[in-house]
Amino acid sequence: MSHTVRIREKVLSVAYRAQYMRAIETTGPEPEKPGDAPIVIFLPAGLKYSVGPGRLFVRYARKLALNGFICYRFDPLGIGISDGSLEAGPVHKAWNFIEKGGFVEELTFFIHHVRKKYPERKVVICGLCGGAITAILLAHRYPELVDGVISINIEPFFSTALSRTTGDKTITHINSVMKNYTAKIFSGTAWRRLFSLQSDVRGILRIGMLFLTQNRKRKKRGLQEFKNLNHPLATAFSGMQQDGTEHLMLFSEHSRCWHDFQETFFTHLMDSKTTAPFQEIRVIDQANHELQFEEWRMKAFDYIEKWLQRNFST
Amino acid sequence: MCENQLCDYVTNRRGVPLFHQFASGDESRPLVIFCNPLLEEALFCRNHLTGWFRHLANKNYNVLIFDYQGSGNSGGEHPVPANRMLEDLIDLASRYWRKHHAGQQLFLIGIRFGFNIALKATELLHADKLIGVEPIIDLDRYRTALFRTNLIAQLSTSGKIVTDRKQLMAELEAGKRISLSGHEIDLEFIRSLDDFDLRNVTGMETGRVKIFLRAGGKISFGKKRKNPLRKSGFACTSIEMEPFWAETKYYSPAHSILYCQADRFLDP
Repeated sequence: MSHTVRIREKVLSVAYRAQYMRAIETTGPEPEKPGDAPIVIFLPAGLKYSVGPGRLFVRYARKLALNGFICYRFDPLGIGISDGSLEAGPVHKAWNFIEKGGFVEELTFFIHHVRKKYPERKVVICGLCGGAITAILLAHRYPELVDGVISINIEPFFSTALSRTTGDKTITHINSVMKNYTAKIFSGTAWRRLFSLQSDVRGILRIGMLFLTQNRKRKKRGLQEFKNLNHPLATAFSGMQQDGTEHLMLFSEHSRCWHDFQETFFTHLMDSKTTAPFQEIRVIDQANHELQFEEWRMKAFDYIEKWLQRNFST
Repeated sequence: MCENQLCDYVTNRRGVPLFHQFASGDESRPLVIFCNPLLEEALFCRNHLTGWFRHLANKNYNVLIFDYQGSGNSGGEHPVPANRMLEDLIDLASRYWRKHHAGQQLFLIGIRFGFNIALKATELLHADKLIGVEPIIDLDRYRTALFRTNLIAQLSTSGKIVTDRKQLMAELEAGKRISLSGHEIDLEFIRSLDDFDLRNVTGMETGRVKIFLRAGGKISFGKKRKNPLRKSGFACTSIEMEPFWAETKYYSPAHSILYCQADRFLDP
């Protein structure tokens, strides 16, 4: 609480197509000092506006601002405190809109605005899940605008109405689920739930079948064989490295995104290496998708802070 | 787009900046204040409430929406007890209502636990009308649901519950904070909810309150004699709407049936 006294926050409204996009600017005690640390822009996590799940990005923005960073929590049109509204429809369609780069042009406009305000500062974008996708797509489309990307739990697949089409279940995901089932094998409660049909019996059978029959075959799959892979994202992901844009990837050990990423981008686009020129992967042990526990949040912040220091310190 | 909109910070009595949006409408029109739900529900709600805010602003109401201390874009690191949220609501209402719009009507709209807070504020401020959307009528069930978010996080990562509800409560009593969907709450927060139990509602002029429940939702009206909504005599209506305070399978940024029914109650 004590640091909030030194933090200043104000609303930045940017007119875009006759509406206002808004962001919260967070600065520390000396924001106007030239040549300082970069600008960090936090994006909404899917449809959850830019405060982030459990206010994750509010905390990160305030912590970074204390070290001289200027941070923005940016809401595109239709999200959070900005004007506009997204189209009504099944929620996976709204997610698909984001996964296909629906917020990229609005964010681009916003970055232009911010760059004019602080021309001497570099720009880093940070997003979780859908936000990470927006950040990567933008960074490759406009490499001159972005100096670095922090992506938290990138999802390589498009969202579908079902949790995932059967054909796209990755082997790491299947193994992970099977591990959880195995852990419950001596649990009376679990068996009671199963026999009283409270469990997702079809889902369990499907995972069991995939584990038993297709394990070996699946290991050989190339990227093109995944039916629902976000190929434009894969292109942008590789392109970012060629563009020389610094990219920190954070994954939660227990997020499905990490399993999906391992078998797709990690294997095929990174040669299964956690560090490469301009790329760095860090996995937060035990963490879930939205980093709900304090220790996971702090661990992730620690990685972010050190990466920023290494790559963007002046 | 909503013209005449102020989107800024205002400092509360404890010196903490609160984020708020205010649309100034016709001076003769009432002031409507939105009361957010708590924790992650407030986050899910935001896109929808901004839409409702604009809907009312376009009808020339004066509309205010704000984030509680320790919530949304407001200052403060952790959620504050509900009685402090009430203090901030009363404080903001006084600033925007009595000072600038003296003699005008005051309407409150509370979503989920926001209704419980708004109901107290209605008594204290003598607000003219109050709308509630799916209020918290069973505090025990609500607390259980809040704690469940912590247990689910444990289950999804460890495959088992390492710290059960009793142990979580013991941690709170030992002065620690626990995480509920990423929000670090303390014992004072949990205990403060009890002060907003709808069973304690007495002496309200029932015609001033309208409650909207989600058709097919968990809250039913009139089945149990002990149901505080039944006892209160408030007008309750079930309508078709998505539970926009939670993750839904269908995304609907505008809830036209809800807006329409609310409009009819506010401005018959």
